[in-house]
Amino acid sequence: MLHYLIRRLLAVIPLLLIVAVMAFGLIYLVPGDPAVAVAGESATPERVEEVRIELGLDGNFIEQFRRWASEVLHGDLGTSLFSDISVWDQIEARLPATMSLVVFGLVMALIVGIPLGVIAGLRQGTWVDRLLTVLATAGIAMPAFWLATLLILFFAVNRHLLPATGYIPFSESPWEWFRHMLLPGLAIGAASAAEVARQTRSGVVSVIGQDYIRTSRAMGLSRRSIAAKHVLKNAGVPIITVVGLQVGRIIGAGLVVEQMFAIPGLGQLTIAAVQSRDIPTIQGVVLVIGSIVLFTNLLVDVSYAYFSPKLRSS
Amino acid sequence: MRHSRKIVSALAASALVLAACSSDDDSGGSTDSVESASSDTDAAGTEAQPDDSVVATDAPDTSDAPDGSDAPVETDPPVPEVQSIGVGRSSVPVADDYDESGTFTWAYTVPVTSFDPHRGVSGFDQNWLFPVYDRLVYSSPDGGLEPMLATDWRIVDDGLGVEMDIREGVVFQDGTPLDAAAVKANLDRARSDEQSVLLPVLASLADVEVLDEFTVKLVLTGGLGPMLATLADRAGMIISPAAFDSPDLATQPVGTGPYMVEENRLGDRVIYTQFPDYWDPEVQRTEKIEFRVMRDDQTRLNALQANEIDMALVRQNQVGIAEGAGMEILAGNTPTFYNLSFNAEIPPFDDADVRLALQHAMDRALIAEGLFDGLCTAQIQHWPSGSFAYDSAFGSGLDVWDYNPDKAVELLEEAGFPDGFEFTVIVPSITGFQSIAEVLQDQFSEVGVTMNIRVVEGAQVSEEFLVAKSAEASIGSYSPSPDPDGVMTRLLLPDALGNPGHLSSDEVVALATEAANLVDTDERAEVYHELTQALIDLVPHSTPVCMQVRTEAFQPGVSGLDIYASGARDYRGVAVGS
Repeated sequence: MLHYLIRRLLAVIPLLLIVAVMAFGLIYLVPGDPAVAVAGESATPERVEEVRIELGLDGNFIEQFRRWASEVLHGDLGTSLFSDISVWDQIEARLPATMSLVVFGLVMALIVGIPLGVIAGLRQGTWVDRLLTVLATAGIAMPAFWLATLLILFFAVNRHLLPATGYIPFSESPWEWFRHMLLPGLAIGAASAAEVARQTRSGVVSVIGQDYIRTSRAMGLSRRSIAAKHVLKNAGVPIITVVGLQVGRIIGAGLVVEQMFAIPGLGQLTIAAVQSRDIPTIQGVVLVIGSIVLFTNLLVDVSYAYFSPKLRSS
Repeated sequence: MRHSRKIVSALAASALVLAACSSDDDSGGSTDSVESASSDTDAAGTEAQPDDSVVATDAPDTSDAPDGSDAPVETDPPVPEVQSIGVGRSSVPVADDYDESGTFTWAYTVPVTSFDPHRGVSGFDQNWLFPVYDRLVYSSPDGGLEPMLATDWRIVDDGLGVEMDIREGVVFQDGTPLDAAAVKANLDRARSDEQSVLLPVLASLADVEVLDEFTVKLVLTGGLGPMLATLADRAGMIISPAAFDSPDLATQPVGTGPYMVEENRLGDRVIYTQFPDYWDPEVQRTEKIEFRVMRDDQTRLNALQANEIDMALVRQNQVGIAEGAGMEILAGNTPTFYNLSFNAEIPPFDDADVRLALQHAMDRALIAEGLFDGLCTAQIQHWPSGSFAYDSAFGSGLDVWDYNPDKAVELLEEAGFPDGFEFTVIVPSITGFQSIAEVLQDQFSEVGVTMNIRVVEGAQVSEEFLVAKSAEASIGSYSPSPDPDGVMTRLLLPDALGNPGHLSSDEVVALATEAANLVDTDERAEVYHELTQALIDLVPHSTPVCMQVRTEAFQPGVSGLDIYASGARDYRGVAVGS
């Protein structure tokens, strides 16, 4: 088990390095010359070169990367090119809103997706199964921005039941935080819940036909006990894999949903940074989001050990 | 089956429409602003509206002018003809029954990049800065220059100096008293600090002298005319010198304005609260002001309809919806215009006949009506109808450069292009600009000119057209400057940033210089009118397609609102209903 954990942890290091190289390499994908953009249209070539040095864009790729990576390792993601605010301060200010979306989306995926998947799997072939499968397919097919539009129109604009925009920090008012996150959370979590429901259903279906389930039934175990202790745990690996994948999906979908609900999250910061070619901010955001996804995957890998005794014993 | 197919088609169609609507067209608009390095934003395209359908006018509410007791000074321009644009009102006088403990909440498209007026790189930062920072000079809604932190000023040294009396008894929000030394420190920082974005606009300010505790003298090398208007904008915002070196100045400003920043949630909202020691408490009509960031057009409209905000920028296609939902509309002309620009050093745009042919091939009125529902003012003058530089006798100029494809063909034949020619225009990847490009492409094809459209990222337009000077033509928007001189220095003079081909004429240069050095606005207006004719003779490299119109929707009960001729969004003295 310890071996397994160490192996997974070590595997994260080269992945982080790849993410860092890709984040840094974004400079070379952005059209135009960032030094020219920052120096301004009237800048002399000498001033452009000065700015290039200030931005650390002088020297070859390896030198630039080494310098940048060293600063990042010291906790310095640089300063935004277009404000005097440090990239980390900007990310830190927006992280809570994005993580709230992630938490809402994941909770929804778990509390809606798993029960629906289990019900459909246990009633395989019945109308309940078919109905839930159709709903899950629709949930996956439904774009988050479309669902968000419907939710805003119905609950906020027409009925004034829930806020249409904004984010209130949890620390300021848990209730207001919940009210403000409900609609975006639903919009962004629906697809995740549907994905998890589908995966849970197929996991349950594959496990339910196994001999040990039949034996458990023969031993007189209750349906609920069989579902919770034997079916779900054995179907857990693919389910938790899908749940883990949702973190990246939710952050990605957040680019649109945050705009629609005026939520000050990483999505809004990313769009603004890309539009203004604010390279340090783009790099910082990519690095942070990449790291979040990597560590989520690590958690998922570690959780396999709980679901699979084989991994524990190896 | 047939039904389900219909539903799927409808869903797909609505998804596409919504995707298109939700695209953020708020960025990369300005291609010629001094601050355009940020590729920032707003306007893109859509604040436009018409004005040929002129109807009744609302006199601007000047009751908010600070310190109304001070008589207007000699440099005050004549009150321009304030034209309604057929939608909403251009001024909403303060209501009697406003709520002194209320909060005014406004949503805007882009956040502030810095609360340091000398360093913020967005051309729209000042909207967020106005509540906190008073300026030396106040630009009233009609464009008049009135006292603010400077209570009076005198022109000295034959127009190469201005003496300013600084308001006594004013304190900064950190308790530091305002005096002449503080003003000098600010102007020196703005005109000489390496990171200052105001260096170009203060280039003619050679020195600032402290004459006594409350008098400063500005020593100029010329350009007196635009200087006072410049000091009514960011360059005239006065920061507490004690805060110059504060690492928090970008997020926690210290000015002398009516409101202080209580909370600044980056990228989300800024909450301002009353400054208790403000020198003009009359304009503090709400307890708080909250500015929120909502980049998406539909999001702002949703927030208005859900009653979550009091006011927001709306696009022209949203005006009807907002009115239908019970909102009122504040609307008026702005100094921002869409423009088609050529590099006049690249043939065939070095030929005045070719440039003139394209002017006659352009149906500006159709673009204003068809693309902007009439909410964009088709004209060829570079100044809005509210500006003193605008020549009312000349008017829109659509009869001078009328839409006349036959004449365009004739001119092209004379220029040696009987079969037309082909060129490429670069356009920012923003819906408003691309739509204009597509219509122009069609109109030019009628006279045999093939215009290829290359859509690029906003900042790349500046880089290719203005910096590398490699692009033949571009479509963009000219962002407002506080004085008509800005159009000349930034767009039309031979060394202007926006003039990559350096096209000009001796007459244009002479008139522009004369206008910049005059102080009396009537005299300046006359010169600008002559300049308009000189520009017509020249056929400049960059001409307006139409002037954008600003439209904002607000909840009933909100009052104390004005459209500013300068293009500023200043909510000084705003009030909300009880």
